Order: sequence, then structure tokens, then C-alpha cells
Amino acid sequence: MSQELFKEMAQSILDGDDEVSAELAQKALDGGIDPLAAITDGFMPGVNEVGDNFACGDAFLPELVMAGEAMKAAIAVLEPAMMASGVSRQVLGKVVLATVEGDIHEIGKTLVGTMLTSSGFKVYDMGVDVPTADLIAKAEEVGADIIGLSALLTTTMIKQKEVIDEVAKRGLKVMVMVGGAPVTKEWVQRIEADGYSEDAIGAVSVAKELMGL
Amino acid sequence: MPILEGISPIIDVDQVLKAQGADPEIIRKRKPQLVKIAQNALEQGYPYLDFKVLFREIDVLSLKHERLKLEDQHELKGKLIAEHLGPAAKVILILCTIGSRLEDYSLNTIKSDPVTGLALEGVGSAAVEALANAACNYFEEKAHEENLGSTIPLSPGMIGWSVEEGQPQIFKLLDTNEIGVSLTTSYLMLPRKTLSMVIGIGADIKAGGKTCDYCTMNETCAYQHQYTSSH
Repeated sequence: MSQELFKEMAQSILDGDDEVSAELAQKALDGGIDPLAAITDGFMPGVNEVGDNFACGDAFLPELVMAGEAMKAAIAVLEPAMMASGVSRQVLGKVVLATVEGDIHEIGKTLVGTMLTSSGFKVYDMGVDVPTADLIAKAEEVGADIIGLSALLTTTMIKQKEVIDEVAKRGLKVMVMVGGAPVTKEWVQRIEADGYSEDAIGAVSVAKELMGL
Repeated sequence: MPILEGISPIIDVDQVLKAQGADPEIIRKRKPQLVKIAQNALEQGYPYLDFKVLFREIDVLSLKHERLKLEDQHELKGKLIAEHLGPAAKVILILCTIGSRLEDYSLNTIKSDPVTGLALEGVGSAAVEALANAACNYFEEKAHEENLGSTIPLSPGMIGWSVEEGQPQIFKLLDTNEIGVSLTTSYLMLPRKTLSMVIGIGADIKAGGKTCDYCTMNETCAYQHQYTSSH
């Protein structure tokens, strides 16, 4: 029964159907299936498949967002049950996420947050137009493993360097990954960022690599 | 400063899907619910669009070392400017915006319903692009009526005219407060769904190429095939 249900779970993510994913999550709980197994063996394969499709151009941005919402709906049902039984999902790492100061573009950054959360990272999304000092303070406060920085303008990319310089200056043990439409590999090398991705799916892989996973 | 009245372009659901990065034909077959969401977003969002086009025509005096000298001691400068506007008799600076109401609405929506919020963003992107196309067509047709040619629209951010270089030049020459548009210190135009551009008009101008050819994303952009017009 589990294998069949797991397949349906993955399909609900591929379909981007948050009502069905929530129903299936509840069905798993009612059937005594381990909620953690439901996430890792049921829903996650769906997230991974949508991600792979997006990465190779076989899925579009709205489909990715729909899949993320379907995953969130499933986790919202399963997480309370996990907490009640004293089981928690393994946190792969803590990520402080923001769009840099001077830039107010939200969507890409938020999507990265959704994908990282779905994949098991603890994400502290600080929003847009976030000053470097606030980012550093938050990273220190929560003991972040990674700071994720989005910039959608050539004129605000420079703030990514500012954050990296500040991290180095303070000797903080936090890695910095960057992204955004104008960000190139050359820019990443120049500012000595620890990681870079062109899209939200790639960001999950990069974050995992940085965490040694 | 003149404001172009009466331009309210019609936008269809395919434009909204394309603005979200999706291929309408594929999406129709694979995820018809997204087409419905885009259609609903269009119906909900359209009343929030405040189409405004501000423009200014300025005569060209000369071109020297990538500096286009304009009347009243104004100038435009940059490699792209020199490449395209040298033969122009006049330039038209154009600022197109859909205002901030849709932006506010979509940002609020995205917090509770990201799929619909993204579709509303698509409505905004499609709308400002349609507005810019309509404005360019208006000036091109006007030029053609006078047996004059027009260049492709040049915008800051294209190859040879960086945002940092071009945006302050345009904003210096336009009273952008008239349509409620401002430029931040990082050269971001607010409201976000705003486009700035300049076109050249003159007897010796022959339009050539398309804007994508001069876009900094031209090597990686997956959506170039969707832009079949000269803009």
C-alpha cells in the first residue's frame, strides 16, 4: 500500500495539486505510515523530478511554484504529527536568505526559500532590500551555515560582494551563495562567493554541496 | 511635458503565460489549470493597471565621440547611442509605466497564494511590455507618415549602454514626477513595471535588427523566439 501511496504523493507534486497532496498526507497519517517516510519516500521524489524537469527546460516557473505549494501543503499536515511523536525532519542546514540592499525583487528569492525548505533546510527569509549589517546580525543570531543572496540588478550585485567582505572581515564561519539574473560565473569568482546557482533548483544542489551532503 | 493619452493595450492570456516564462501551447496541454489561473489573474489585475506614457522630443545637433549633442545643451552618450542615433534628426525619450497598484496587489497576493501572485506579476510584465510596444508603434507610424525612419528602441541595460550610464541620462531629460516614476540610488525604476527608452527619428534611418540583439541576456535568454517584432 505504501509504495502505491508514495507514487500518488510524488504525482501530486508533479501535478502541483496542493489539495490532493494534503489529502494524501492525511491518508498516510491515518494509515499509520511514518510521516518522515511520507516526506522522504513519497513527496520528495516528486519535488526532485519537477526540479530536474525545470533544470532541463521541461517545466516552467509557474509549475515549479505550484509544486512548491503542493509540497508545503503536505508538510503542513505531516509536520505536527512528527512533532507530536518527537520525531523531527533532519535539518540539512540553516540558511539566511535575502535580496540585497537597494533591490526589491522578491519572486526568485522566495522561490529559492520554498525549494530549500521543501528539501529540508531551515530558511530564515529576511525579505528584500536588506542591509548587510542586518544580514550579518541574523546569520550570527541563528548560527547560519549559509547566507543566500539574491540580486536582480547589475547595480545591486555589488552588495553581494559587500556581504562576503563583511563575513571575511569578521571571520564568520558562514558560507555565502549568490544568485540573480545578472550574476555570472565570472562575477562569482571575482567576489569569491562559496556557491552560485542560476535557478531555485540549482540552489538546492549548491546548498547541499556546501553542506557536504 | 507631454503625456501620450489613450493607450490601453489589450493583453491576452498567452502574453501573461509568456511573461511568467511559460510556453502557452505546452502549458495548455500539460497544466490547463495554470491557463485558468492566468486568465483569472488577468481579469482581476487589469483594473489595477494605470497605463501612462511620458515622452519628450529633442532635436539632435551632432554626434561626437559617442556623445549625441542635443538642443538646449542636452546630450545622450554611450556606445549604443552612437551606434544607432548618429543619423537621427531628433530623439524621442519615452517612459512607460503601469503604475504601482497592480504591483501592490500582486505582492500582497504572493504571500498567501504564490501561484496567483506570480500570474499577477505576469500580467504586469505583459502589460508594460505591451504598453511600450504600443508607444513605439505610435511614434514609428507617426514618423513613417512624414516619410521618416525610426530606430529600434534603445533602453539602459542593453549592450553598449549600461543601466548606470543610461538611466540617469533619461531621467535628467524627463520630468518623471508627472507620471509618478522615480529612480532609486541603485537605478531601479519605481514602480517596478516601468520601461524607459529612446528612439531616433530621421530621414536617413533604416530600422535594423531587433532589441534582443543588443540585450545583455541574448546568449542565455530562452524566450527570444517569442519576440518576433522589432522590439
